[in-house]
Amino acid sequence: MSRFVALPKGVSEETFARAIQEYRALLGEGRVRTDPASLQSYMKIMIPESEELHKPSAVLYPKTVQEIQKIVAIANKYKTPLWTVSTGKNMGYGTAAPATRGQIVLDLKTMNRIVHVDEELGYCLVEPGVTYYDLQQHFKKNRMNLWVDVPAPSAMASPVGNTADRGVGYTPYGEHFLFSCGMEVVLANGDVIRTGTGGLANTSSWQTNKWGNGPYVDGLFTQSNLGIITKLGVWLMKGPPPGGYFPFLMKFPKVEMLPDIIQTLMPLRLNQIIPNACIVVNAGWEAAGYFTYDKNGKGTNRETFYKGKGSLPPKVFQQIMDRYNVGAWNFYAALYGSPEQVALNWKYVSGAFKAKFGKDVRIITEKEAKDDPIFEYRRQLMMGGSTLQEFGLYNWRGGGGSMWFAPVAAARPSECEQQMKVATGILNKYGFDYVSEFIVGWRDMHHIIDLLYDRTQPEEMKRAYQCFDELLTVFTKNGYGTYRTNTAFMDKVSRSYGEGMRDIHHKLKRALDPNNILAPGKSGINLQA
Amino acid sequence: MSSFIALPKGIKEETFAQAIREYRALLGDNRVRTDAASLQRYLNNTLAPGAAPHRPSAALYPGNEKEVQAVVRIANRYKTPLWTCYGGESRGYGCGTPANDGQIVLDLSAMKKVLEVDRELGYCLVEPGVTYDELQRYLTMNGINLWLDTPAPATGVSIAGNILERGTGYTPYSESFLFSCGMEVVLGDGSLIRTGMGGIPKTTSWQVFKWGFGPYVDGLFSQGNSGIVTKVGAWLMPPPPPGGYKPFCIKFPSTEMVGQIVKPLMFLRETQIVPNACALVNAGWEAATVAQGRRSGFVNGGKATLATRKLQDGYGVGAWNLYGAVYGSPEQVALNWKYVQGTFSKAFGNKIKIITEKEAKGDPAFQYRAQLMKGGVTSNDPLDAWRPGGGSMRFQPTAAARPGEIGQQVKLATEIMNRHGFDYLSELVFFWRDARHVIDLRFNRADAGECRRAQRCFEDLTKTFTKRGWGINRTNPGFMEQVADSYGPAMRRFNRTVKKALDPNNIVAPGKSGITLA
Repeated sequence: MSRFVALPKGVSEETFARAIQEYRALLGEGRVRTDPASLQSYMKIMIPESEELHKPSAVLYPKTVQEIQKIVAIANKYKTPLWTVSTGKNMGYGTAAPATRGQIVLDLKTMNRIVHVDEELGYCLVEPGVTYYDLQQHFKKNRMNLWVDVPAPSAMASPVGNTADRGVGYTPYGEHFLFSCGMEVVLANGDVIRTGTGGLANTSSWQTNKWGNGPYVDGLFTQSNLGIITKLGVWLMKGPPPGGYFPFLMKFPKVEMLPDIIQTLMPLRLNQIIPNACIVVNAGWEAAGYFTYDKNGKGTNRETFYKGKGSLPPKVFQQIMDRYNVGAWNFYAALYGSPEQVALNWKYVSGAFKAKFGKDVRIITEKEAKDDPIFEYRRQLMMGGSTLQEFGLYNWRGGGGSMWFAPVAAARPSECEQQMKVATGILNKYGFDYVSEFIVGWRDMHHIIDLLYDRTQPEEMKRAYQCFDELLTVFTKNGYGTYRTNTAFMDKVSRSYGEGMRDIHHKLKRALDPNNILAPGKSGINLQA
Repeated sequence: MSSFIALPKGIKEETFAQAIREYRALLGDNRVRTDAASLQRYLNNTLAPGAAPHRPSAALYPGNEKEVQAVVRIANRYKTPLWTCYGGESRGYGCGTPANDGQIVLDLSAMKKVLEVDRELGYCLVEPGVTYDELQRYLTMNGINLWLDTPAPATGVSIAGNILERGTGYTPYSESFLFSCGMEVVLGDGSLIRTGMGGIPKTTSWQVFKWGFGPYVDGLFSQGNSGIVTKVGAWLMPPPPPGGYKPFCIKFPSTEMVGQIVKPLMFLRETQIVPNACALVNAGWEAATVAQGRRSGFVNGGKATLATRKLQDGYGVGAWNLYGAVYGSPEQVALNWKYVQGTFSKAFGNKIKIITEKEAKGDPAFQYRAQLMKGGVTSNDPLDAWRPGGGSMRFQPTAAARPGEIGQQVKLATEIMNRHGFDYLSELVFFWRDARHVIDLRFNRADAGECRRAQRCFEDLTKTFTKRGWGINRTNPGFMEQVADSYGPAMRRFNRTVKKALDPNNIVAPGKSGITLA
């Protein structure tokens, strides 16, 4: 019997034991763990595959860049792959578990220094272990009027990790990678590079100018296994003056209204009247938020409404909508600026929607919402506040299974409608519900669908896998790409982008990490496969 | 005597002749030129001639991406380097001149298809030879109401070329590379990729979503030499309604005020009250725009360099001239204009002059800037006539948008340039958190002594600025090594590693951005 929970592919137990000895010589026992209890938290996954496929062999906790350089040297020597996590909260995309069995988790949560916050120009430089919550506390403590754009849920998540995965949030700075500026990266050969203008001795603009000179390389380290990010610059928005933040909600009664919503919304978005990454949330997602607030203290879920087999019939969906007073679509956005600007822009926004929908739209602002918890949740998100509310979604269907299916849609009415129909059809065919939100970018939508299932039931787990697989196949066939996916499907998604892209990614991998030690399998890039 | 003007380093004449025969078999005689007359245009740059020659050995004109792939395959066989040029994008940065002697110029200006313009979402997909004026004509002819973002000047300038050099314009979409979306690229090894969403057959989102899946690689091809871009997507701005564009100019009386301008300006920039890349133009540059003619007089007593005060009096320009604009509905414009006026009046009282279209009347400088800030295509560089002799070298450091740093950069650049006997001509273009400090070193190319001085001055600027921690964003082939060095050895190793992976035979533009495998 092995002394280890798992071993990396192709590495013998003795070799691995020797590697661990070297890691321990470097970091000490406390920061190199191989015991099951310590590894337990990295095995909690929500994807429909066995934990066995994603078991880590060890976990390392470096504290400095120099330690990471030395770790990488040891990893090259013994060919022990390192699966990097910043705080490991990649829920629904694989959490903290490695893409393949036996990788060592390189957990950077102990590198949690806020290196610098610049109030004048609005940016920060942070290490990977810093959470959104840490940053917010820092602003509060130092009375800085700065907002950081957060994903949902955010409190425990890391700006470095989320940006590296090209996550999005809900303020005007919603595209996290776009609003990042400057990285420090440890390469597989132990070199440390600082991108942008960071390589310049005494640089004054590492976080103010993204480009530097020559090829812009930051993108190579997003959704990537070509380097380990150890510092990241993030642009921060200055909070508007008092009375200058105006979140609102519009509820639409019918699923069929989606294309009209998009058509009304996009001119406002393109012209920056609505400057934030706003969201159009479907009834299931919206209602699930209210489940957690059941008065009996017991978890409400879809079974409260429906005990039958298969996906919820439209009639039951309607009951849930009525019960919680949610729309078939719920559009959350916000206006930012001076009170005068906000008032003027609100005239345009409310005018556009009233003109299109008349009495079919219910418009809710802070005044009408009062202490509605879900309005409050969205209000927080659109001003970069911290919240854990999204976990409420997991009550939709108990059993701990969740996979984000995240295709991109061009922000056209017909395309969004088409995607919704195709997704609903496939999900229902497999007995799952369509639970989604559209996050509205400048010209695209992140169409985020949560495939929620009961992970305790092997049959349902299998079905969830097949359903996701079919979603991917059919969407790809329609020309719709997926922007982010979980570790079980990275290879398949990567293949959907064609041989050319796979080829360049693998050429870069071979050049920068010839021993395949950095997170093999991430984004389908793996020299061993 | 060689039958060629120059040869690539390390390539024998017979080998080169054999390569040329293969290129001709592929493209025909007309599209493979080695004669002096045809190559002359690539020798015409505006730089001070350095010690080493930069002669091209030939020029190729492929018509589509398949031909580009075939060219690259031949180049790999014969190891003939290809200096890619798209058209007009590098004025002041070397034009089409290769980084070192004997490279073949791969001129993509013949690839002229506008493949798509989308009115609904505001984007285009173009081949590399499409210029700003051509796309503007296309939009007009098809009645498409979208704005470009243009560099100055833009006539004859390739859109792809400008994006790939990370050039900038003056509208809210000024960061051209940031507002690009999706590329098709022939790599140095001849393979072809479509980035972002482009790899998906039947993709609907190639020009709407930048990232695709896995590592985002587009940046590698900006100021890069790992691939040749054969298509690029660019976002186009939906214009404001009638009455919704209000350009303005604020004139500041003294050079020393530059630092004080930054704070109120950055407040307006970060709140997006002024959403465009505004230009803070110095007296010399502004005077040239007003004069539309030759620099004369207005110099300091014993010194030959321009006296700001005299320029101000002579041409009615400010020591600094800030050009910005507000965009939106007429109501939004009125409201935001109130903030702009209020902010600057509060900071400067009656020391400044605020000018809008009404007051500007026929002022050519105002007209020129009003065009630029709505993405108009301009043809002339006002500085060309100002100082004859055709010498222009652009120096472009980034400055963090802080009062102190901007003030120091201005002071230091002025000192260095005046010491070498040149005028400080600049515009500071303000982005979200930095300003690109664009300095145009103008000199007489016909005067050998002045050329040497210009070269020394540029060296001095580069050295002094990088030592202070101020990064250079863009430079000409004579200085690419030095600038690459300033960003440190680790970055240089990294860039070389990437190059080696994608272009193992060092075919694409060796020396570009200081990256070469030789």
